[in-house]
Amino acid sequence: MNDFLTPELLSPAGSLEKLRVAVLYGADAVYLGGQKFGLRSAADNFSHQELLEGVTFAHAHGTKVYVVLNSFLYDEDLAELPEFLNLLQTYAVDAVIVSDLGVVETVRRACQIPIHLSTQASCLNIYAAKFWKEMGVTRLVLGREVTLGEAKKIKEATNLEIEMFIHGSLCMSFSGNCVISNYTQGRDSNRGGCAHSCRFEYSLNDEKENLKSFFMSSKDLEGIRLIAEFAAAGIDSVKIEGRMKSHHYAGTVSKVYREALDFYKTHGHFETPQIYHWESELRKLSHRDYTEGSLLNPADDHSIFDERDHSEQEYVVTGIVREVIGIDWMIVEVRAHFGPQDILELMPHQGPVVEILYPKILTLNNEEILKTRPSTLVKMPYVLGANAWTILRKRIYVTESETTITDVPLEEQSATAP
Amino acid sequence: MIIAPKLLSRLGTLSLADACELASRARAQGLRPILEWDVLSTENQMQDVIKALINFPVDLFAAVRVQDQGVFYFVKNEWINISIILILETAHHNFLSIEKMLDFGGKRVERVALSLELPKNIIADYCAKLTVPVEVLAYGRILLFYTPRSLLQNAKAKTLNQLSSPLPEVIEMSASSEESPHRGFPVIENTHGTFMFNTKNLCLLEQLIELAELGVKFFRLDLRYDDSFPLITDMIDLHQNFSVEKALILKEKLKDLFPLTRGFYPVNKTNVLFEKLKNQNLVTTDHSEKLGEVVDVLKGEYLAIELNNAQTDLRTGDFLTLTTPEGKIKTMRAMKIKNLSGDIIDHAIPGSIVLVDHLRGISAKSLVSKTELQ
Repeated sequence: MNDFLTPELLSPAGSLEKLRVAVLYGADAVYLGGQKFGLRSAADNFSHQELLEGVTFAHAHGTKVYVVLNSFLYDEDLAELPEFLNLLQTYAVDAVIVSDLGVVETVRRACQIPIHLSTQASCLNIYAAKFWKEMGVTRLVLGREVTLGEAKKIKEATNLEIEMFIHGSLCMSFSGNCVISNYTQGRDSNRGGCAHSCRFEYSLNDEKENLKSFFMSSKDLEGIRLIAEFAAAGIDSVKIEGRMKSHHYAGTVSKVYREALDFYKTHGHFETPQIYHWESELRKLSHRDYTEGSLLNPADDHSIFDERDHSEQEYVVTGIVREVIGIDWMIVEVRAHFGPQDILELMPHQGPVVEILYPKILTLNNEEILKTRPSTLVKMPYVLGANAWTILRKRIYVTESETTITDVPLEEQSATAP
Repeated sequence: MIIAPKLLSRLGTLSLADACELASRARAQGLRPILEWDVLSTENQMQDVIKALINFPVDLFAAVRVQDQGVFYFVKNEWINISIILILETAHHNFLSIEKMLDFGGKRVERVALSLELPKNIIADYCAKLTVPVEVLAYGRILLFYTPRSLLQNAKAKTLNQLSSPLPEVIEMSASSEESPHRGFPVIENTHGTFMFNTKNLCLLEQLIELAELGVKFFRLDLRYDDSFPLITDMIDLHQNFSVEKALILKEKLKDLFPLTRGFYPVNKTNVLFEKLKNQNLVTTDHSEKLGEVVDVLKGEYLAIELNNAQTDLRTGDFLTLTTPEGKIKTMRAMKIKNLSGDIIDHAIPGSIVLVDHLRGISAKSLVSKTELQ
């Protein structure tokens, strides 16, 4: 059977744990941020030790690591960068993701790490691509306003590697062109302080009308049905947004897109009923309504999410397997309440989900318990497919008003933008 | 004089023919007509624009203002006789970035417009170091947000269900949110997309002399959007015959039209709040003694610690410091260590989870470090 050319799957790694999850669930590459220079000040981010551990773990699994340095830096920030670059070079990271021309030049002068241009730079056309090529970048993460057709032209004209977002939250603004937080919250959105003002409800007034609308909020991107188009356009890497999102998200999107890309790689087409399964899995995550954004045509009014973000979701992560003891037990770190009455699902790193009916739950002291508490460890009988960093989840049949804060991990409740 | 055709300028309204006509008239009056090309275009849009510019008499203009790197590249390579003014108002907050843009443009670049986010000490520094003159916005709206999507049209259509008549090409509304203390963001939608502006206009008219002393050579007055245009003569007079009194009088007049701000000119501290976005007690730091994190607590029984520092192991007798999410610090000695199978061990390696004796007051997510001596 032929192997058809497919893009690299690039997943977010908001923390060392999420990196492990993304890698084990099938990412070809992950992107992450250090404590400085990236755009997610509120994310866990990686200490130097964690970075080394993350790179070692990823490389041991054949996964590449890209480090984001995509803030627009001031001189005092830039002065601190070479030291960090030396460290990244020592750790053998595979690329850095940069949006600022000063940072591009600093990287070029300090090390040999390949430079990927961040979507924050809003590279939208062939001329801009040629400019950045002359500046020394090897890969473009194109602006999210660019269609696949346009991306193909840019690739053909420049011969640069092209990366495009395929899934996740979307900025409404041209990336890098929004400074609402700077002026309203005193937080530099282009240095990691975005306050997500675009997700607010606004009153819109003119002489005639007074409207209420979430008019600046975008639906989330979902490009799974367009994998064949990504491949046909010669896109080198498909990127999943969401370093601030949960383990469940990192695991599920990595697994789903891995399976979809592998299907395409083997079959050269995408006509399979599996698509419904994959889409259904993506709908189990906390998300806004999905859109294909500008992938085929410029995003229109159907891409606007005129609703308040909410935490209503079908599934919640109940725990993460941390250790397997022989073939008898697995140790689970509890993320949300569950008990023996719940039907749990174990999502193996590969293969179908395994249902766990009426699970037996013990403390580490072997005392049986009827309800777990988040942030504790429990012991459960081993289930085939369980490994360290395997996700356990349960379906929640609740309305928004019934959802309690302890049922849904905080990280899954937050409005997230790229 | 900046001339803004609809095709090229984010908020331009002129046809190309009118832009050319205006440029000719400006020249006749001894003014320098400068073409504004600051729209952001994807590849297909860019090709359409370039097609529309075939036979465009660019030599009518003294210079072209560019923002997108693609437009910069195009103008540099295709319009080889025109001077370039670089609008560096998005990003370009470090000298190296500006320097690289100038290197690329070479002698064609006649001026740079610096970012509105730069405070005066940086403006002064750059004026001293740059080889081309510097421009700053002295009065005008502050653009906060730019999207190619039609947001107002959509909001109107949705709320009114069906529009009885087609909407105008340019829609202007004012936006306020209960989730923000700031009221009345001006929003404009046109063929290029939707633009939101700050609730206060930037006004540095009082600082004109100071700016000149810093080395700023060009002040931009942008009066396109509100009722301030009749005050242009006052502004020109102020520029030519500056006095603090005049500046204050003019400022009062402008304040009656729209609230004013000096923006980040005095100081920019937009990164100081970052530390508050995270619990600093739990920020992971790099030190060799860091051992891991408490992942479970059973009162009177155990603390479960995940050893997540690849360089540090745990041995029986080690002294530990534990920091709770609330910042409370406690110490203990690991006298008995168990693995998750319940076996007593005297050495635990990184990556494992182990149980040690319970310590009162310590909760899950507490950070654990090894300390040398107590």
